[in-house]
Amino acid sequence: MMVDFGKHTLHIWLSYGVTIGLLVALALVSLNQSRAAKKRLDEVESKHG
Amino acid sequence: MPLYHNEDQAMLAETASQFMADEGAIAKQLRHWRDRECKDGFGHALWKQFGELGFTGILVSEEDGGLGMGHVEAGIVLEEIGRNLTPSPFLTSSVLAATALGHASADLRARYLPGLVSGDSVFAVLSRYAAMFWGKGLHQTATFSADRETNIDASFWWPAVISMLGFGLFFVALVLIRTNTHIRLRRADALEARARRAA
Repeated sequence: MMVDFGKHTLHIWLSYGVTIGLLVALALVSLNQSRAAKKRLDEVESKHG
Repeated sequence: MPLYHNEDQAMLAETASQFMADEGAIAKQLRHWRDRECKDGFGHALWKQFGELGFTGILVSEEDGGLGMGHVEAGIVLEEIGRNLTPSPFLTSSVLAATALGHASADLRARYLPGLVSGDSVFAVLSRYAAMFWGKGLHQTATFSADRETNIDASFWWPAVISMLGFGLFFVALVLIRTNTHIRLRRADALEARARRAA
């Protein structure tokens, strides 16, 4: 069943889009930071470990 | 399925909201009649005002003197009645009796609907099931069932459950990744600090 949001259609779908976009961005940033942290730890461990 | 009010419905909602907040307020109706131990349980003057505003005939066709509106509009009025706990026979008279009488013969409609629309008559509804057992002392009662099998269609549950599980797993994974990142950074800092102290 496709819900008819009437005049609020754009606003509601835009809100869904922004929410999903933010969640994806959060996941990507977290993964990126994790990779950078792993790289830094590997470097430090090979140097001082 | 529209989830918003059109202009007429918005106007009705505003009128009903103002009227019920002014005239149907708890202090003015519910407590007033309760404290007087009113046998009828509602104010007849208020019911007459319902008639003057057209609420009583909201589901009665225009040919029979009503407004000829639908159940969405009746729901708007009921929402305001509920919001203000306004005691009134709206559900039994203007929804149930009006719907039943809408399918009745012209004679019955002419006999009962004018009184309903004007707010002079009040209707009670008794089901055949209840009537069968009434004389035996078994009275029909309304019960609330939280059984999901009967109240909510299964097609609603699975997308909701899958979405909730998906979001749950997503956030758990996110917390684990960020915690892991934090631990690695702390360990790298500690190793560097130890190396500096050793030097």
